[in-house]
Amino acid sequence: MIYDFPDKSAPIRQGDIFVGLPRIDISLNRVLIVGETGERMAKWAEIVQKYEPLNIIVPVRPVIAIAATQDCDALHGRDITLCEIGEFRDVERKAKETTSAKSWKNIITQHARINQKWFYLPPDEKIGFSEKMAVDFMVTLRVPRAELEELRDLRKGRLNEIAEEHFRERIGEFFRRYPYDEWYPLDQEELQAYLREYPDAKPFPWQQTETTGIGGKK
Amino acid sequence: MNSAYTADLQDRPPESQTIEIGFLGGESYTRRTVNLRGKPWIAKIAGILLPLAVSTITVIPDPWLMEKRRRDSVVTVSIFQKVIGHAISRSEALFIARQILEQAEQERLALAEFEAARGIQWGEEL
Repeated sequence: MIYDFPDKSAPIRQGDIFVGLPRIDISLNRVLIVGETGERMAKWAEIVQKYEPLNIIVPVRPVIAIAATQDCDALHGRDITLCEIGEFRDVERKAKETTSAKSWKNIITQHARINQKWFYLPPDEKIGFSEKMAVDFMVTLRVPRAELEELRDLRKGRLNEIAEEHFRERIGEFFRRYPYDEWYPLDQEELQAYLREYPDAKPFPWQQTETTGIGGKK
Repeated sequence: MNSAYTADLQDRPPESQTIEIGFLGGESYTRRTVNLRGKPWIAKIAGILLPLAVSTITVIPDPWLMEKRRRDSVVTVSIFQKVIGHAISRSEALFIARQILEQAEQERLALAEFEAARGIQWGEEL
């Protein structure tokens, strides 16, 4: 499909796919501190007041991930950032019950029209994907570059030229997103329709009228 | 790389040592000549032994570093004493870590559901 399989000695590049990399999840409300006399649980807000390093227990699990760091930094930087890869149905929940080829086509080709948080990876036996997969731009990992280079056995392949070019642009586009309140240009009628679906939206001053009773602060 | 150290002891009288230290690229170059001719024998021995004795000082643990480490351990202990929270067993800690992992995954899925519901629906069959 859309993958290449570089030699083990090839340097790490953006678009390289690794298996078994550690994803760490931390809770700021339940920090497990390792002490000489045992373990202790505390909130991060309490610990951070001292502003000192300490040892804690964090949960970790192995995941599949793709190098997001651009090639130059992947050669020289201290760390490499990767995005987690998951099953497409989990990353894009709209597809959790999708079955027909036409529906899949509609979802997979959305990239040209909207800025999705995922990048589609088709199944491929050689790389080890038995299902449709997706890069989740929202979930990132960071690992030391030199140590990842020693673990190049975990690299199962990389995106081919066409896919890598697309991936590079997509990841750049995703992190360039301009967040804004999408309802700001709606007129009264459109705003009413919008509020029925998203009641938490706060109308802007120019959208407030006495007759409609729409109010609130931005 | 264009930097290297060289020590040139050849083509010199036995009592004279030239130590050249510098970058081959020419950015920095230091030449120092030590001429021991005519010095008393005790001075020659001292000249050899003193640098050796001084060089061993560098392998002695740095007192400042030791002090810093000692202070760090004190600070760490004080953190443990002051942290508000309750003590738990190691197995309990590992269980909570597992819970944190599962909760994070559930929250990620919930967010994915929320975003999917908000996105543009491309056709009824989706």
